[in-house]
Amino acid sequence: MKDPYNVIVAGVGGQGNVVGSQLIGAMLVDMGYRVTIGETYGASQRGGSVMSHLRISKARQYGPLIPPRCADLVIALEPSEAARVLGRYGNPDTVGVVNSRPVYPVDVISGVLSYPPADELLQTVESLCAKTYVLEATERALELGNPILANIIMIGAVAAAGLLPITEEGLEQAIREHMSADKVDINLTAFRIGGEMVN
Amino acid sequence: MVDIHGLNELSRQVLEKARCAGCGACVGRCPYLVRFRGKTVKLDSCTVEAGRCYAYCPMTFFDEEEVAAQVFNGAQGSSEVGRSIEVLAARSPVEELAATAQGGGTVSAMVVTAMERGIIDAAVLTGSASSEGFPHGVVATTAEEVAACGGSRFVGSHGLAAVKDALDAGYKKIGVVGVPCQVRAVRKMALYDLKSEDLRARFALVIGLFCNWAFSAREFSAAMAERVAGKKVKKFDIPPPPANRLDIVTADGVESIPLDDVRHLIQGACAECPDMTSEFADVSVGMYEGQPGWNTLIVRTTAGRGLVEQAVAAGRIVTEPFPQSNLDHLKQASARKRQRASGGGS
Amino acid sequence: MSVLNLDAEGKEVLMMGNEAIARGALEAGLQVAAAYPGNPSSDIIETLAKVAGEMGIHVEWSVNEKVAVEVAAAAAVSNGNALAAMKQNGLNVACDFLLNLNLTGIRGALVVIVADDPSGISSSNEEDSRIFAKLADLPLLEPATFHEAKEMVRYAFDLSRQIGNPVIVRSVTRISHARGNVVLGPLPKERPPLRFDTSFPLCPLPTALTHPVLHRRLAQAADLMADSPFNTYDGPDAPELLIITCGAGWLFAAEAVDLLGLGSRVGILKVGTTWPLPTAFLLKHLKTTERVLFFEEVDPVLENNVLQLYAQHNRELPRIEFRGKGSGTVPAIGELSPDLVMDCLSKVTGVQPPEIDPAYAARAKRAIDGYAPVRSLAFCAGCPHRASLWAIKQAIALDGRNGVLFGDIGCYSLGIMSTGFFQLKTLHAMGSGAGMACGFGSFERLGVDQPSLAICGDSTFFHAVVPSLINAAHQQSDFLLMVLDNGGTAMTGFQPHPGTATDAMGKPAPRMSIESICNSLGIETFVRDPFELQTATETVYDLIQKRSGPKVLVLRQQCALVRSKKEGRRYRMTIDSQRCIGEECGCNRLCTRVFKCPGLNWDKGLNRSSIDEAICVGCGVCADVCPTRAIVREGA
Repeated sequence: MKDPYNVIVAGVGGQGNVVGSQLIGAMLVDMGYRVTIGETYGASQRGGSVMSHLRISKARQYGPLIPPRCADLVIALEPSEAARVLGRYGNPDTVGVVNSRPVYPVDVISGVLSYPPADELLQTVESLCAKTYVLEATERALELGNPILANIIMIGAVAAAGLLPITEEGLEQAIREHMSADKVDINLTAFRIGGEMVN
Repeated sequence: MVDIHGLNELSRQVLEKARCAGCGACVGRCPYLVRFRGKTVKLDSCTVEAGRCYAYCPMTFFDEEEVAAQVFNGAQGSSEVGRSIEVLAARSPVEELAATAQGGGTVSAMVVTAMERGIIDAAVLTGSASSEGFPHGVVATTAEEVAACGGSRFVGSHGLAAVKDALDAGYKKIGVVGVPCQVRAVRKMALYDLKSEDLRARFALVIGLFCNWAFSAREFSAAMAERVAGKKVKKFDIPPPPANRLDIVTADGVESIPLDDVRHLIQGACAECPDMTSEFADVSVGMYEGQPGWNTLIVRTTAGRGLVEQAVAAGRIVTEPFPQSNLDHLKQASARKRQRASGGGS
Repeated sequence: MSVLNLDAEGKEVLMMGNEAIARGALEAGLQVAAAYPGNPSSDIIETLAKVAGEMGIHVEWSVNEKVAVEVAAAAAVSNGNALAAMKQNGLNVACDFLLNLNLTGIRGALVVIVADDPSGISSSNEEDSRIFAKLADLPLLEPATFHEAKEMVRYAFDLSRQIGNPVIVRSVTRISHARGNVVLGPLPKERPPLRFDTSFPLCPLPTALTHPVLHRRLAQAADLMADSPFNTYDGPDAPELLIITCGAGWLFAAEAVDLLGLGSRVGILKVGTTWPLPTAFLLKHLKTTERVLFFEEVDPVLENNVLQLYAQHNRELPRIEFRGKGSGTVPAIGELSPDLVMDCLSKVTGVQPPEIDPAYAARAKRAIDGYAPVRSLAFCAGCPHRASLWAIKQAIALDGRNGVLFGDIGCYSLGIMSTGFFQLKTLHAMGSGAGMACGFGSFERLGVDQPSLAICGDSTFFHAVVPSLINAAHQQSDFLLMVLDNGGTAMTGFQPHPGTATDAMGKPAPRMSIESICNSLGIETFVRDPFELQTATETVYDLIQKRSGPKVLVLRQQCALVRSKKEGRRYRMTIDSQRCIGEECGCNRLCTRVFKCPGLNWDKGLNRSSIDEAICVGCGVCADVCPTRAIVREGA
């Protein structure tokens, strides 16, 4: 893995962005990495764009923001957020893992702005990545009973694609430590489903 | 042909300039314009480019030629009281109708006749004060309901708000009784019919009233509440000039106020209105100066004449010739209003 | 199980900056912690509260920051170890007390954590709290990493006890809310006994005696920190350019120097003991260079202090070109970031950052310009504030006299934007909505006929609004206060407050009734459910007609985020597409164009509204907004 390895988890407030990046970070620290995670939340949770920047290194503790054009992996819980984040932080070698379901900004719902057509949007995202995985994570999460499981499905996909050195065991331990024991089963199921979607 | 705009323009041209006539044509058809405690209130912006509110409002634009072409067939003579076939004196000999009437009870009698004869299946009238204390539009289908709406209103009552109720209820032959601004609004509804609701066919009859001006409902109500403090008002009356007073009739009797004390409560829109006798109605009815139990009746269209003949045949109204001197007086008064509206003289 | 009080010295864990701060306090033997929620500081007390029981410490959400510092100070003057945490605005609120406490001194340890919010990401303003250190003559430390946050806080307790005065630790969003590796230290087995010594009072008078003592304590801190390991230097002995930085600027600067390949030419001096300045350390390094570039969050505080030091010692020092916010090299506002630091460094050194493939850059620009519509902030689906502000909007419009709604701080602050129909006309500090409205409501005698209204939240009510209500009752001001009671301090993460039935540590607590407090002030008070739109609108309208002194309307309904966790959907919402007339005259998409709940979508293809099942929480309010009854509400 590159050092530092820079990962951005991007989405819309309320999608579980923060929890997702926290779990990844915890797992990697247990594996001996120096991890820094920078987030923007608080007011921006109310419908705004949310980003978590993960800096992963064996050598140093890096700052909580990734410099523009330096993202190695973008995990996007929403497709227009993928475009937004790749537009600023992507480079020709970036790998993208993208949830296909749109979350419409209020300005789109109210008719002030347009949301780009799905196929064009995905094309744009793909044009900014060396490789792109597109997943219907929200749909699968809804089947499991809660749309917020989409973030764990995405993490499962990322692990199965070998983009981060995380395992089911590591996730289980992280969930026990940072959420609660009763959440383990449903989250592991989500993790596995994500893995299956990539294979 | 004038450009039809939407709420933004209506607001800019009419509402924000205090030119609203309180006719009720625009309110209640959408969530943006409502009548609340006697006032037309805009609740939010609307981006519809050509809206019914603008199209039907009598204060945005009124093309007299275009409307005349729709309403009249050329058989009428034209004068200071508009196009007419004849002018009569009329009254209703029917006791129940006379009891609630302001003058001769002619309007109520004709509406009831029109219902009974199937000329109309519902009437949009203006009822007296509701629980909130303001007169309001009513859809009437029985003689009792018509009688209950007898009497003059002296405020902008938003009576046409009830047109929507009549349309929604599915009535096919609607009669409307209104003051000149309301008559104009109804004619615009039929002419433009922006949502293709078959309005031209569905307005079967328009009875216009004479009107010089009206008070703003909310302000007038507040001023009167202060005056009569607690007493229930039975009705108001404004005797013809030179009386220059407003009579408030309560259970305790009549209290009179100089008209000059309340002139500041008159709607701004009325100063611009050139139409005293509802020149675009099928028939127009007003007071008969000097004859309190009678009305002046102007017959304007074929439909109007048909209605009058049927009302007479049914014994609902009686008519007599209208003296020339009174007609001359009426024409002068009407001409004065038109002059005032175009900014000349008082 | 919490990593916060894990007794595992030497273990390396991932911690949020705020958690590291909390851990540092525990490692120092914390006994009392108090705060009022305010981001980016809220997690400090939140995490401490979770372990309070186990650790045998007292942790509370106080009603406001002044009280919080007073609560903590009560322990600190009684031989105890105490901490108070706040955001920049909180320090403003606590300032009067602190500027007296510094003169009396303490008899224990008090660490004041202030977490600033550069760029005001979660705040009403942008402010640099560090000036309070100079104002109050108190030491101030600034952590640059997560582990350092823990170490500094632990050290701050020692320092505070030694000098007998509070110590300020200043964090920023990028430290407080970010996470990084922290190595746990030991947790103490014992803590000092709490007892107030009544033989000597604590009094700031006479200042002729106490003020010099204050200065002496600060000088003592300077001595104690002269060789502090928190002040570091990395780089060549005689750098072409000396970067002087503190706090979050350090990690950004280090990465920028790396990316520009300037490691052999540029040195980075990190100041951790921001006040009083580590003069010897600074002078030593100022002697080695002729160019200095400052990076710090928000105001040129360190910069100006160093410039002052330079002026005082100018005869021993070379001529130096100082670049920073003062010279216009670094933007005077907004937060730092690695690219901003790189740009400034590039400007000053002439070294360009690596270029990106122009074709990629063009594609990237197109993506941002055309494929990423902006996300304005909005109330959550099902938020009672949307309903409250709708009712207020209707009532003010129906009234027709241009009523003024004075706004306040909370989730409902978003009401100044389109999500709240632009209803708030002012926004300042906690409680200032009621304060201004009670003033405006007294101006009828000056010819004002516009109704005066204010809103506040339930937490804000207890924090700062009560004095304005007392004022209004006494001054007979005609204004309507609407308390939007959603049962917690929502904006910052739903912390409890005196109106809720539990305290910070999760124990049952007496619930203060907003209505009872208002009634006891002789104020006409009403309670309505904002989801009953018609009734709420009518009530607001009726209350602004009366000129009979202040009135309070409590609009009470649970926060949507809490409801969805606790109860799930109330209703199942659907659209009857036969009834929906969409953009036509008569509706013009009221639900999605004006009401704009994110649970509603406008389907351009079908020309109809639709419900987004992934977002709708089933509050049912939109059904009452739709003019054609096309939105259907069924019991869930």
